Amino acid sequence: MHSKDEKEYDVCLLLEGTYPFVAGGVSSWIHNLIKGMPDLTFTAVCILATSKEKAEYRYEVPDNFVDLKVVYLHDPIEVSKNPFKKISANNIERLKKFHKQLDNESAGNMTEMVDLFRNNKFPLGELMHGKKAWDLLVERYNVDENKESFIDYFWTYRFTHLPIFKMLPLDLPKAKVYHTISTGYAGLLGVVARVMTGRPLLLTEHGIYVKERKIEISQAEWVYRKKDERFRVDSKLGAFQTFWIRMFEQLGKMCYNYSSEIYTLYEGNKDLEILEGADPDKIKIIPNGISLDAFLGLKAADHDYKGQTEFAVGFVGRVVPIKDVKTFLRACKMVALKIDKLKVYIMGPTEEDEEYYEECVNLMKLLHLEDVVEFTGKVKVTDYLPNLDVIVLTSISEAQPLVIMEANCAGIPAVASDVGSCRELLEGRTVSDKALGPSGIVTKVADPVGTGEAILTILQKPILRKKMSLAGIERVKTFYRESDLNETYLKIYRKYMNMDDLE
Amino acid sequence: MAGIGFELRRMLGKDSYLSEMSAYLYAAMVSSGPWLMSVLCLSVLGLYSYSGFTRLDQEIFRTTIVYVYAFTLVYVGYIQLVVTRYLADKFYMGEERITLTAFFSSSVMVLIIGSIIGIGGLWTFELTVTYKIIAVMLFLIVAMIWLAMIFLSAVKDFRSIVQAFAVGTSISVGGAFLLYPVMGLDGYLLGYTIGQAVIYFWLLARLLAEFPPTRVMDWSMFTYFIKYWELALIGMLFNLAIWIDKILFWFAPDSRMVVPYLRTHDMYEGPIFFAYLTIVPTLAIFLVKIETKFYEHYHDYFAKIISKKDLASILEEKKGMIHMLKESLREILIVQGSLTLLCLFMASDFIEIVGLSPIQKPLLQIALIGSLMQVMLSVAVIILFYFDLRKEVLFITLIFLISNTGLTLLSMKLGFTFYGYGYCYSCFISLMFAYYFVSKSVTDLEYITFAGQPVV
Repeated sequence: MHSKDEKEYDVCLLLEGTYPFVAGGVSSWIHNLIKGMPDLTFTAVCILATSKEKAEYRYEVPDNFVDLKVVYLHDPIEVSKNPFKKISANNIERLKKFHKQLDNESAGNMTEMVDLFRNNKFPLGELMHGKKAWDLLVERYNVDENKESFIDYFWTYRFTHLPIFKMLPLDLPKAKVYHTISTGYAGLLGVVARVMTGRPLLLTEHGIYVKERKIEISQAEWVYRKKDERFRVDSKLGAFQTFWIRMFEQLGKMCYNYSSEIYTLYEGNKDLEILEGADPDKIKIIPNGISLDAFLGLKAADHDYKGQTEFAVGFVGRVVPIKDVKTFLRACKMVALKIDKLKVYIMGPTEEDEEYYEECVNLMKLLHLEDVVEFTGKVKVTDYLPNLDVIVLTSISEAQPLVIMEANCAGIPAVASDVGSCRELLEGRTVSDKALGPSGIVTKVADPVGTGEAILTILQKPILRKKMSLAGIERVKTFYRESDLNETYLKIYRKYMNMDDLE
Repeated sequence: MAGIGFELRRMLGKDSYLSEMSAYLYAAMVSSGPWLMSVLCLSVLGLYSYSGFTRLDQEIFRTTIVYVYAFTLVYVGYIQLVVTRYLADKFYMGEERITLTAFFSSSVMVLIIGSIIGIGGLWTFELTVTYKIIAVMLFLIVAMIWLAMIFLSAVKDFRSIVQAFAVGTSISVGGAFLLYPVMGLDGYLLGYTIGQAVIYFWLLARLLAEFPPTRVMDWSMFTYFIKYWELALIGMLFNLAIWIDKILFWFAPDSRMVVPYLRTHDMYEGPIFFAYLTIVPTLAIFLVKIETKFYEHYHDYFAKIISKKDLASILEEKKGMIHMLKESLREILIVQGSLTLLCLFMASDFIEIVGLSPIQKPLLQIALIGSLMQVMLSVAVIILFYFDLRKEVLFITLIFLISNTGLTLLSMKLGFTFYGYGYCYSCFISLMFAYYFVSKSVTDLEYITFAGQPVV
């Protein structure tokens, strides 16, 4: 597939809707990773939705990140039939067999499929407009039993398959290691690279792609559901939502299968990956790290925990429903009843969901907390951290929240709902980590009473507070250093770069 | 024939014998009215002759009329299907106001190109200048009648069409008789032309009454000629294919030059024209069937798809459609077949009545069979148009044109006993192809409907 004089990169990243075009947690992570390994050359294939939206760099990309290739998933294409390029009966049988494998929950033999697609045995025009592909569609629809809308089946079939058909024949840069940061379409590209080049494929999942798609699809209005289904009380998914989800599940499984190793941030994600069909032995947990310099030593070492009478509670995050600010406010009411001199800062932009913000303000007034609570808007958190005594996170969903790592690092105990890796960050993950002691308290999701009690516990027990503060600092220093993270990945890259070609 | 369906369905919906009869009558008029009227006209004019009205005059006149009809049909053919399509699309989008504008723009086109063709074609003939001027006018008027018909059938005004033809034809006959004593042959043609002009202006008045005046040119219509180039080509070539054997026979070794260069082939033309009359009932029946019953099935089939039904119920609906198609085709075959058979057996008597020569009997018989094939071919083509299979129809049209040309030339070479076989076999061959496509497209209807959809 590659000519000899073609440029070979050390690492080819496969990215879907992220770096360097979309700002966010994952993008920053990628940015820091590349920046942290100036000796390696990186390239990337970046999958974006359409070329209609302007693709602008959101990061100042490092010098060792070169020759980025952009692929548009949903750009309209002209497909015409070529009467001389039919799909052979033999190949259509293989395609059927492949689908049957997928039906039986196995990942299917991608090597054969990728080969056939790349050798133009399945011309796109024939797959879209050809008779044989049509017959396969009808066969898979199953006339005798299927009672679902046929027109929607047809379009769902097309929309789910077309991006895959576009991905399979793509030309990929030559690299020693391919590293995809999600399953899905980027993962599929990874599989193609792995199969075509024999070079190892690595997968890092921050959030679990399949789970995220499931949430997205089950909420999607555009996926057709029979009227009675939509209004039914139980949340059973429609046939076409299931169709989409199954496709992402299968893509996920393929990517897990062809990855040499799978990395994720915390134990909870690992369990989800195993549930989605990943081999547990392949999964390694590599938590994110943070740069310690900005936060270490913010809390004065000689802080007088025992003599303290005034307290400050901080909430760091956007004022949006997913952060569950209301639970936090109710918890504050509890705390305010017990502690006279209390100040609460809600630090984060309020304009993202104006309506929700207004509801929160109303709730604050209703609870008579106007004098206690302050919505600061978007601020520099480090200005506030030195004065805070506890940091609270009531999110309904998180992966590995930076807020908690920062709180740990700054030596401020945290109260966090039991989501993502909060428990690991506050109680420790491994044995030696746990031995450091807790650096905060984990509460149930949407539990104002529990949250309030936890805050009170921390504020009213100076010794515990000091212990937690020290444990947090130690935890981040030992397990969540950004430089350690880069070192870990550098080791991994080196190992796989030097590996012989796989079969 | 866009639009006739609604009116026919309304009539049949009344559920009375009379309304059913008038439905068939209207359908017959719309499908073959002008043709019927002109043949009737010619017969009436032919039956009665003045003293001094020479056989030559008679032949010049008759040949002129045949030429005018043949060439206007071929000429306007390129515009017919495209405009029908354009109007159907516009109506579908609820833009009925556009009609008159489209009519004006296409009239301008028909008149300009028609003048060039008419003058160019007729000028070399050795006829009086007055006669030639009138003939060119007739050519343009008849072309405009075809055009007006397209628009009127699109607005479902069949009553006007029938009235216009009845009155106009009478005036044509009357005018010819009245003006011959004054102006001779020129007057004869002028009288006929006046009658046709009455038809045209009647139709025009009806159109003007129906629609408010708008701007003259509608450029968006012209884009349809590019977008639906197959339709333009089919419209012209299919009519040419129908006429090519007659045209070729005008140049056969045993054809006759009436005056330079007005040619005729007495042996061939007569039987062919008369045989063609036998398909009128079939066309009427079929039109009623396809625009009512078939349309309903067709509509229900797509309604099922769009209303998000499962494939099994869509296929169930298709079964009904196929069943209906088979029924109708069988019915047509029975009606047309018995009529053709009857005519075949009675050919001798028929020939005597219409004044043909007994040696033309075999030719009439083969022409009768050919006409049966041709009408079945038209039926198949209309069905294919329903499924919008333009490429397939174009293919059939080309087969028809090429085979009719080739086989007609061959039959001319083989001699008189083979006359008509070329046309007949050509219709047969084209019919086989058309039926293959019809049966294939009905079987693969879902595939054609869905898989042909553009990607995103």
